Amino acid sequence: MSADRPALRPTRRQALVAAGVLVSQALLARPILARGRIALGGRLSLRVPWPVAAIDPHRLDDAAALFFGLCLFDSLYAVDASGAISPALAESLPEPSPTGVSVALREGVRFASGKRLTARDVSASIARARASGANGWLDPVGAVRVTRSGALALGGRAVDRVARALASPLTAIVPEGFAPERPDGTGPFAARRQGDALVLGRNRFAAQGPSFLDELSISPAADLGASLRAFESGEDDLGWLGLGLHEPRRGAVPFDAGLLGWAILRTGDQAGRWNAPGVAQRLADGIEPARLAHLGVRADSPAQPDDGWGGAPTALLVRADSPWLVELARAVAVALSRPGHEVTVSPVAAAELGAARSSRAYGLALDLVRPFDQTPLGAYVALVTSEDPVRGAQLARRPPLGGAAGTPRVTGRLLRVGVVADVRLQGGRMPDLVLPPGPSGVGVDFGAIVHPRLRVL
Amino acid sequence: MRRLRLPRPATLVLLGVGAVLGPGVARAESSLTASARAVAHDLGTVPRAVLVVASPLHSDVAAPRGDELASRMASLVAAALGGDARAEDRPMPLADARARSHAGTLRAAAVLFVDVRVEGGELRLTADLFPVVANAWDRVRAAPPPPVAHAYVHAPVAAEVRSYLAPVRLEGARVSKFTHDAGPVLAMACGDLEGAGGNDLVLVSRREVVVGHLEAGRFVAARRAPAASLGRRAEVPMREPVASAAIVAGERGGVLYVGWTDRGLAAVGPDLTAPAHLAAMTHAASLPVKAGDEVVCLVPDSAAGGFGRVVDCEAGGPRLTPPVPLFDAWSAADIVGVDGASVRVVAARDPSAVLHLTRGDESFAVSDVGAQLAVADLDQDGVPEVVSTMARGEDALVVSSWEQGGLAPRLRLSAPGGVDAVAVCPPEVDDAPSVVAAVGSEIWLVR
Repeated sequence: MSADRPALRPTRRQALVAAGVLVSQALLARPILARGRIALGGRLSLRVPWPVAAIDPHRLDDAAALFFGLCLFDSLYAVDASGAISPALAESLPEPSPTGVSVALREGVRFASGKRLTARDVSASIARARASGANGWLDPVGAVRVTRSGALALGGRAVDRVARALASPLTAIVPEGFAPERPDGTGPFAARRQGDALVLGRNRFAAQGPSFLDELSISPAADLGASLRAFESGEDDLGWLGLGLHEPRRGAVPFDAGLLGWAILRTGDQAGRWNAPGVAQRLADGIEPARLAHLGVRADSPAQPDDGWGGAPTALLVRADSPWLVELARAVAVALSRPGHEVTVSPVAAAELGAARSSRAYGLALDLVRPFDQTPLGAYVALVTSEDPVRGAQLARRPPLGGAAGTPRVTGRLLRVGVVADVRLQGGRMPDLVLPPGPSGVGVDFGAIVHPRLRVL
Repeated sequence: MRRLRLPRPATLVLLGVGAVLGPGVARAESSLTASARAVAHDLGTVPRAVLVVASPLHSDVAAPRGDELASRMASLVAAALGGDARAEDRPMPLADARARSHAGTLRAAAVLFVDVRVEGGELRLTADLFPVVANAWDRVRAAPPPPVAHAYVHAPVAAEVRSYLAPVRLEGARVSKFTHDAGPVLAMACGDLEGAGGNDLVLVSRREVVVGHLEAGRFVAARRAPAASLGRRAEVPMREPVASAAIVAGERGGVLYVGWTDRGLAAVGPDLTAPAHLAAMTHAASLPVKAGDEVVCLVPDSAAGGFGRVVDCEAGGPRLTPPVPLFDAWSAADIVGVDGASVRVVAARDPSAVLHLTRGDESFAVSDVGAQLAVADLDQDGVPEVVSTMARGEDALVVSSWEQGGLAPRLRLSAPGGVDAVAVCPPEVDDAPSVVAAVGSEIWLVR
């Protein structure tokens, strides 16, 4: 009898509403504490299954920039959670001029190295971002020129579009001659190397204000277990993807700072007739979410029936220095492989993957993509550009009807790349460590983290 | 009409030539004596044998020792006039004063009638010099002669005057609440910005400055100015924004100094635009605060999360030596004692929530003090009050008196919504300063 009754499972909307009510009740029940000042100091450490040897804000596939870019870099403009744009390194919004728009820079801004920010740095940063994949995204900006007086003249005429393009983290401003191995920016932290670790100390020249923390130490984790092991033992302050390796750390609570990017599956020339638009997305959509659950990948929608990989046995290239991507590649390979049509994971150096991507000389590859911003257009242009920068620039100018309005997986049906999984900043933390959201509402504003031992006074 | 400022202390003169002084230097100057001297000065030359008579005190607050105050004023004015001037030992109306001037053996050459009032938080003296008609027949036949000289002086009521009036009971203060729509308030200032005689209230948020007044349960905004129009963005702001504002009153309109840690300092007039003579002040990123009659600037050290220097707002040179090397909240006031002596009281909170108080050579520290701070003599008894908030737990607005040996609690108002900013308003229609606090979307007026 009971088997005939429909299950009383809440819909997603009902679950969200219920969660919202619970959160608001919790907030209401909490006494509002005294308004003191935030005490500076403290050190936090964490391990991440991603490479941190270099950080390049302009690369679409840079994992370190995906998670920690805001620690080191600012753009000319910033977007808040409501989508409003405000000046960051610029003094004000772009001003119309006879030849386009002009942008006034804030006076006295310095990079963490102490070098003063100039219009030449901005011009060089925009050129570098264009060369790294933001050519389409920066199309509204037009030609960039530094005037004799040192001002910045842009060829774009639509003030809103220019400001939005220059507000992307992928158009961050770095000094001329920037080197990702020695990152220098205007963010709340200044970077230095300490062995394998990327150590972020307070930047006394930070353009939006120095960090509250004295230091944030980010080490590369050799595997997915390393971070959880260190968190469980209390060695680390954040656990990546969980609350502990063997068992949850006592008192730890989960956190999820939202979707920051996507893991994508590429099809290359060696995939033969499988290298066609929409194939990669179809393959990705056919993977059962349960196979990826241990990687923190959430099931937004059920898997679409699919026969998996049907091409010749092929290698699935993946960056060897990204344990999370390697684990994901293994799960994807298992899910896609069929007898006679095996997919084999092939971890390779980042440079080798880059070369294969350029020549398209591969069968399958697993990669990472960062959105230009949190809008559907930002996701759309990033995915298109990740497939083909030239085509990305063309499509960014004229998005197809409905193409930019759809979800990334819908966009993937038009491309030779498909979204396999969301990349989220999530894991475990102790309750007294509050992780403030990033300015745009997603990610973590590490510069605004207050060390739990230094309560607000 | 002449408004008598609090005595310009020797310290301020020295500061004017660039000297750097400690935070609490005492200055001996009686405001009653200064007022009497000002009356004598403004009258000019007076006959040698003048009789000074004070009126009975007119006061808008209870004045149990009002006659004593009036008589004291008469004797001080007589002393200031010098020569053979003498004072009548009790107050009386003008008609009686005229009669008194030619009675007895010590007939006066003139009578100086001093009308003594305490109104609107001020001591107001109106002095009229009348000639004495020596001939009795002339006195009967003709109307009394008009005054031949006149002077008017007013000065804020301080502890010296307050000692003649009914004491202010802070413990019985009432709270009136007004709503506002200025958003999160970072700082407040209260004073006569318009020059119209009443207090204006300034609310400073991260985005704008709003000037208005409290009326019918709400804050009524009269003018607004976006922060972006007032100050350039700071080179290195504090991640947690802090702001301050200070009003320097003037009879033709005051000056509002406002500053943020993420924007430069601005000095503007009542219309919230910068007059040309103040434009030079709109560059340096610093927070203006009042220290007695002057405005000084706190220079932020963003990497340290506080302030380390107190400088001249315009020239940028050192102005005062703070009591601690790094502080994140500051207030200072010149407190006038019952003897008329003025002493500067400085309160500075270090980032560990310890409040450091200095008064002359005396110092005192108290822990767990919140970041909203004001110092003033709220009950005008010559003892400074410290208005503060809580460093932890549920917030509250706390008023304490800095008695000998420590802070004596006087008033505690629970503020579960959190106190965002506090300021002290000069005496207005009532007789004593009042406290205003921004508590979430409300303004609390405590008096």
